[in-house]
Amino acid sequence: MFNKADNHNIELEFKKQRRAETLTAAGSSIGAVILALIIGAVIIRLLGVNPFDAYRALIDGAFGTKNSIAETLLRAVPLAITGIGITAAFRASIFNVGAEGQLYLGATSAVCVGLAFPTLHPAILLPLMAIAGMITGALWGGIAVLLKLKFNANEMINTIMMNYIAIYFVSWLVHGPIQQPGSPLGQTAGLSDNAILPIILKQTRLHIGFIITLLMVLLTGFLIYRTVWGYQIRVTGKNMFASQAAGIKVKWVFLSSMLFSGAMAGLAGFFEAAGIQHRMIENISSGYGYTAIVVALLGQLNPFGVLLAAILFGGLQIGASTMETAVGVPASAVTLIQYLIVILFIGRKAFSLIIQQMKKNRKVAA
Amino acid sequence: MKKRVLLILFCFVLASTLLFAACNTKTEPTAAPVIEETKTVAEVPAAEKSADTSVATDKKSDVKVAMVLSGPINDDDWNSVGYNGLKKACEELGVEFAYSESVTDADAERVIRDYAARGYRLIFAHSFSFGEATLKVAKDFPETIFMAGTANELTENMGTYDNPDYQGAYLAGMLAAGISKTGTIGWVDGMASPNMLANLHAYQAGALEMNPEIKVLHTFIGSWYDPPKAKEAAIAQIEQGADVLSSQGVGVIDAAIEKKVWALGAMTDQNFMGPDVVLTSVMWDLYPCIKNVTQEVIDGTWKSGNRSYGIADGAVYFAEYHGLDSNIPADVLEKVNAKFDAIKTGEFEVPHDTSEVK
Amino acid sequence: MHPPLSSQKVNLQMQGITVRYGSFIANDGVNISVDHGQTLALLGENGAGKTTLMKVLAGIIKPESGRIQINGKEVQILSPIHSQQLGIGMVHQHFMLIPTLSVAKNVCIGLKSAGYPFPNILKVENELIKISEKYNLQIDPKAIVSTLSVGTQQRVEILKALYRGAKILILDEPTSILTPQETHGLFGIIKFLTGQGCSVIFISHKLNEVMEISDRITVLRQGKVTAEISKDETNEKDLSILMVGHEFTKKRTIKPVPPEASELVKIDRITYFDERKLPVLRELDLTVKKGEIHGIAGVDGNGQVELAKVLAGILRPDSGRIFINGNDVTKLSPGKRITAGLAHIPGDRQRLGLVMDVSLGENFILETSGKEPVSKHGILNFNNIRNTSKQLIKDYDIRCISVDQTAATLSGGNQQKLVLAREFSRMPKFIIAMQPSRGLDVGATEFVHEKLLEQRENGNGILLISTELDEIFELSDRISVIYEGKILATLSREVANRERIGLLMTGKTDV
Repeated sequence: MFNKADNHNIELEFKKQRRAETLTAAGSSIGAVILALIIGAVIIRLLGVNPFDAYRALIDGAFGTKNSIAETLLRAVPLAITGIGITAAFRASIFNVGAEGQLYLGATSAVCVGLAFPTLHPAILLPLMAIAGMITGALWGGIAVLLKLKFNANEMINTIMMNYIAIYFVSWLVHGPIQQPGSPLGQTAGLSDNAILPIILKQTRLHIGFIITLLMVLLTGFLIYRTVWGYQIRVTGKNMFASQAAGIKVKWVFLSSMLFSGAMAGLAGFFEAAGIQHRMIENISSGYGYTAIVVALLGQLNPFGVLLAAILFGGLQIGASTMETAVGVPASAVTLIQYLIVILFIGRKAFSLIIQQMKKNRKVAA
Repeated sequence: MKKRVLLILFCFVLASTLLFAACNTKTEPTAAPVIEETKTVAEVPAAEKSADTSVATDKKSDVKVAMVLSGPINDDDWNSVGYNGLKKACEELGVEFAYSESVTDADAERVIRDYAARGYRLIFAHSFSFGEATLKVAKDFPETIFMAGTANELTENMGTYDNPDYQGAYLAGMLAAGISKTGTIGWVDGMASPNMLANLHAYQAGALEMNPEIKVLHTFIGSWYDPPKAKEAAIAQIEQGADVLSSQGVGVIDAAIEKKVWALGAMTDQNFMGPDVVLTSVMWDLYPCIKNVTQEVIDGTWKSGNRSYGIADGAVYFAEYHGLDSNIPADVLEKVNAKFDAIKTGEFEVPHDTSEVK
Repeated sequence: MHPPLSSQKVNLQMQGITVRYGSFIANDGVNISVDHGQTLALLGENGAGKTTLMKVLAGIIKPESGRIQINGKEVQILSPIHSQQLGIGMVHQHFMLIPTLSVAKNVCIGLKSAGYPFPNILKVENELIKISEKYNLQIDPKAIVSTLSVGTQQRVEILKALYRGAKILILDEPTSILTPQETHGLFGIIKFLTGQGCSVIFISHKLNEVMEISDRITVLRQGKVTAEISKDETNEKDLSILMVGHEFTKKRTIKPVPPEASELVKIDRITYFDERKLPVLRELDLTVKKGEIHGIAGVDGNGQVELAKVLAGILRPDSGRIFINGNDVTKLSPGKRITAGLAHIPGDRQRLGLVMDVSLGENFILETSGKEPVSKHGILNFNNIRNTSKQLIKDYDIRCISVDQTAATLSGGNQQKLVLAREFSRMPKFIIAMQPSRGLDVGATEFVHEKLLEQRENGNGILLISTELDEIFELSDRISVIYEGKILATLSREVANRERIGLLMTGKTDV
């Protein structure tokens, strides 16, 4: 038996160790990013451009002006919001790959509400649109989980397929029933001023959705770590059998995590439509629903990590076009870097093994 | 295990050597290989930017011009016209310029705004679908001048330009009807935008002038770029008897080559795509427009409004025949040339009709 | 206590073997030696370092220091294949057989000498028949493995090792899955093998088996050898002290259940079909009284797992009904049954009992997370969770550093204590205990048994499902034998004896 002082020391040691583990985990994300940038630099060099110039342009493009910072944060909004939704689903081991479709449908129904009540006061209309978007996204995601629960159909495949259904359905809508009269483009009529999210930074497009995103990150962190619901999601995701045996309603956990996930994607869609495009258009998302999966994983399924990863990816994407203009490196080089981050991050286990081995060697040598 | 550490170290050293090598070669401006010739131009401002922006250059003006394009600048179509005009005009005037290609409608406002925020004085939004995005940015940047392609709504600092290539389309219609043996000609297009509708109506009118019995087929494939679909539509028209096709999208010329019928190119000289079948192309040159607008901005005389540079301004004309003109009956060629001159002098005005078609 | 090595020719010697996992020393200067034709028992609690030592021998782990000699020649075991070439054969606790292939084909897998790439099955079969006859293994090489009983499959593993030229056979806990009759048969084979000059290393924590089969015994405790003695010099009592460091009493005085004790649980003709639509439980009847431990004996795989799951509400029976305190609970969810006073100590605690990757505190609230005082209005009360967890850790003597460490970092015994602490702290009325001491060392087993008896004292009913007869006999008031999804017989403990239960376990009722 340990005496009390011993116990205290051991507990301190344990806490130190835990902190070290957390740091290593964060380090593996950061390491993946740095390594990807190094490899990206080599590729840029092979394209015949000085990588330092390219990265300078990239950083300048992402954070160089007030407007570019606003744009970076603006790009981070859909990634972070969708990412925290995906985080909740992944935590429950529900692999929601369908955020893209949920985002499209959420955006569409939010816009439909906005177009139907153009004269309502913004304080009523905007929340109404947000709720419409969230409910639509949630329902669309919920179908995939219901199929899983009823027919044991894999939700990953379901959600991928449902993405296509949603995107093509929306494409038909904006070319058909809800197309702007007289326009050849795949888009609805513009939203009234009451249905547009207020700007929070002059001369930029940064809208109030960014503040809401920050609040949602806080809220999701609270939900996941502090509430019974979040707890049940976490334990069910880790071991659904034990959770079921312990009386947790795992079916509800699966369904509710997906409803939350879909609602977040729908909210992101509302932000894109009411904050950026001011209408529904075809191709409203350039793959935010997919990038958000990477963002969620890179953020280690921690809402605050997800926010950081979203800002990083937002910066990369915004900076990429400046880099393209300034030094002639195709923006696809940045897409490449994004994928490298993913691969290196997935391979982080190998990475941390190498680090451990290096530490061990150092110890042996010493 | 030491080995593995060494290996990793080696990789890092290798990577950093490459980087430094890159830096060193870059100091010699000619040493760095450039992948595409077109990109070189874009590098010019970058090199200056990284050197020192405050140093006075031999440029005539500090006005910077930017263009935002919806497709790749080497599409030999709409976007090539925009880029080529920009390049020629700005180099001649000695002003710094930049461009962003393949910008989606959803992303257009961001890119336009970025240029405005970075101090570009004149920004061309080279797609009729960018109009609304430009309008939004123009409101936030009253000091900046915007030119959006065929926009409906204008402001004090936002003007528009159109491409009266319907004037050329009229001539193309005459030419097509003149050489058609079947009495059926075709028109394959992307989307039914107002500009394209004007072109189609002019094409039809021209054809009817040449041959009142002519039958003009038309198809809008619903996309600006979908070669398989365009080809399919073209083949369908050929099967309905069309032996001259006006190509308004990639894929049509392919069908013409395959089915051995005549094709008429658009925007740029597209003869190289089918040297035996592309009789000529209706050229549109944005250079005069960009040059004048830029000069006005430099001089401070620019006023908002619509700039329409057509046949009279040398902005719309037929490309070379590349030796294929022997296939054109002399009377047809004569009629077409006479019409061209008539349009140029203002004797004849091509009807402008943007009504929707079925 | 260390007698000098015998003058006989030594077949295998391991000296000063030290293995470390990080800062944890699994083997600390361990010496063992086995002679020709001898059975060495490696005795020790779970986590004493037995398996680690054998992994060194099998070439899976390289020791930090120490020497290995075979026939007096020093060797370094480089890999599992090298270990085989040196004449060492290992029979793992979990068989390494492909059920859909024949015995001969299983033997050929990974063996180039049998013919490569296409093994000469006929030749192998003939050779196997010879070996099988020589060592009295009674195996048909053509038989498909899945059709063989567990005991026979084990003999296939032995045959496989012998075919590959094993002279030293390592058996890792070989009896844990066998019926008493099969165990008896295995011991016959071990004696036969040693008679033919093979050496056997027999890993076990069962004292009676060790005393029965071994010539010499090496006792490991916390990675160190505490004794190296011949069987004749010792007895079960001494060994248990050497193994766990303290003596424990095995015999208990239990007050009999008063005959008028009321019925707590009634299981009425439960039938359950598995995914392949095969009947796993067939009209099974059972009762548990208040203050009673009802033991269910049986060989693994006769419906025990399904019985426990049906009772816990994880599986839905196809017909039949379950009553707790007279209330029909057949249609209730696991959660509602837990509220009704059911506690479940699952056999597979890592899969069904615990969430290995979350903290101890979060494991404690698995069943109560939605209830006050653990949470209020859906928000967890971490102060309460922390304090309750600390109290439970103290009450149940769970050896850990912090409530924040994950369940995976606990040893098997402490994981089981964690489950017990959680289940019993809810004040349940009816407890399903499935293999509650599986994989636990003597000390932890003792602890678990004490806690179960404590619950019995409190007047709660316990259904004890176990394949360990010792456990059943030690704790039960009544003993039922389950065979092919049916209860064959229910006996009071006074009437039951090992032979009778053992025979019932193999389906023989006519005694």
